Amino acid sequence: MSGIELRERAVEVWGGRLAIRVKTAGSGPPLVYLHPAAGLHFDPFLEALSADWTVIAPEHPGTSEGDAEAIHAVDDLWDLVLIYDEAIRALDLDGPVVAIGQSFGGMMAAELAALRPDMFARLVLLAPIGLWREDVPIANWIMTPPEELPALLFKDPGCAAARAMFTPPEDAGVALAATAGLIWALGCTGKFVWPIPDRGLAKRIHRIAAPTLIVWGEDDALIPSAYAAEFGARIAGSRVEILPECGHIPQLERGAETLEMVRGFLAAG
Amino acid sequence: MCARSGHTENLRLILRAWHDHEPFAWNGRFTQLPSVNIWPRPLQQPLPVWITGVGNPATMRLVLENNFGFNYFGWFGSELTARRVFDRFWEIADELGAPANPNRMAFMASVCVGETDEEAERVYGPHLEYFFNKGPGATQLGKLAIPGGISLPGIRFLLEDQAGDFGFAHEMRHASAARIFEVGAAVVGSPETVADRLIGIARDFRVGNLVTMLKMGSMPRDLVADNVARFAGSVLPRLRESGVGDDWPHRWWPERLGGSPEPAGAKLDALRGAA
Repeated sequence: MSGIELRERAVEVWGGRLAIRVKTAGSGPPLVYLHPAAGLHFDPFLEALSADWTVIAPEHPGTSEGDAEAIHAVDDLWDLVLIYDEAIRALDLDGPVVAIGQSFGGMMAAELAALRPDMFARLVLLAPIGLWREDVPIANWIMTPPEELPALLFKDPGCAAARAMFTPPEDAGVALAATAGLIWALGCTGKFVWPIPDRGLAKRIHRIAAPTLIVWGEDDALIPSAYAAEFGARIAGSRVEILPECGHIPQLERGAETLEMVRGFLAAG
Repeated sequence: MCARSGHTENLRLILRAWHDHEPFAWNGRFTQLPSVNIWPRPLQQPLPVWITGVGNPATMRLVLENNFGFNYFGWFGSELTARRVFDRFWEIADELGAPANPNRMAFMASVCVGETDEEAERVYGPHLEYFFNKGPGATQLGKLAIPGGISLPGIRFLLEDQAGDFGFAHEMRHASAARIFEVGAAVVGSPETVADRLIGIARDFRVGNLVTMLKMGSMPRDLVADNVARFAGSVLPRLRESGVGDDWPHRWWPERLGGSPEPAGAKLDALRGAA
């Protein structure tokens, strides 16, 4: 992480049973970011966005440092959607805000936008889960052995972004805590989508009213890029962008193009 | 809200289903069943209950506080792990003031009996390789760790302790037969070797019960039959004579077979409703 300053606050929700940790960076109008299954990491994409926006990133229950047991306060996806809704309301943001969700966080953003069609002014979905097609099944990322993850997430597992993600920390204790944290985060998020990441979003997605940009890596090995059109067809007025030579994390593997696309889309609002 | 709430609820449901004579509704957090009515019902009341653990002290406490038997299995390599795990159990028993009755302890082992040590290793080796490589070795320990079944500190312990309680678990997927014999993941050899090893474990670690697995992996039918016959004919008589646990009451064994079981699960409030 380079020079950005991360601020942190906790918002009490769920009748006082949960304190959702929210990390923020930058200044400017608010931008809500919902992180993927592995947890929140302030990557270069979020750092770049924080130049123009106040990036506001709630952490999924159980994935905040020192609060692992929080996951036990949440039983199912309905609970989880309401908890995110409460957390975002509790932030007292001024009017509808823009939002970005990646993968698992993309499904959560879509669920929220379907629950409350007036919640988001603009919505960016980066390779979200949530739909299912028999002919192009989504890979089971939870059961994938660690050594196969780079090829599941990146078109080029040797690229700098992949190496940055998968080179273990030198300190053995730090490395072990990171591995345990990853297993835990996949469990805390997997709880809501295991064993098939389809919890009925297809029935609710038509409610989304926010202008939506859907970005997908053409060579996504985790969620085939055929899903981009599935999301596009179900969200009225949405725009679909497919990035060539790109895997599951366009904002890292095709950082510059993704950033430009997202900036252009958000600014148009 | 407990770190292993899923585990605890499931255990309570099973115990109550075994115990109650009338159908009941279960409104749990993880399981809802309108009518729990198992068939066939257990004949024994009270019913001896055994819990299999891998070395987690929390499971050992649960066992001791609830009058369960504790079963430990040797797949991780008993030469590497048995002393750590069994000694830990008896230390916790001592701490909780539970008598060190060997009959509350079981050792579950894959056992392969040949005519000689060499013959046993030659005949069973390929099947043990198949079993450990394709079976337990194909399961990543970390993937078994889900919220509800374990805590985050529990996962850290599991990752950190690869050379300890989990013995050769991280090698299983590619382990050779020689390595499987070396770590004691299976008890393999002539009837004398096998009996010596099993009696040694029983005496050294106060183990009053043995759970044998005589068929594993790709073993063909005839070899399984040979193994069963050799175990029953040449190993079992020596185990029976060894006398481990004979001077203690057996609280975890069927009454009609000489046991004197006592009710299990009191601390879990197991025989009340789900709420």
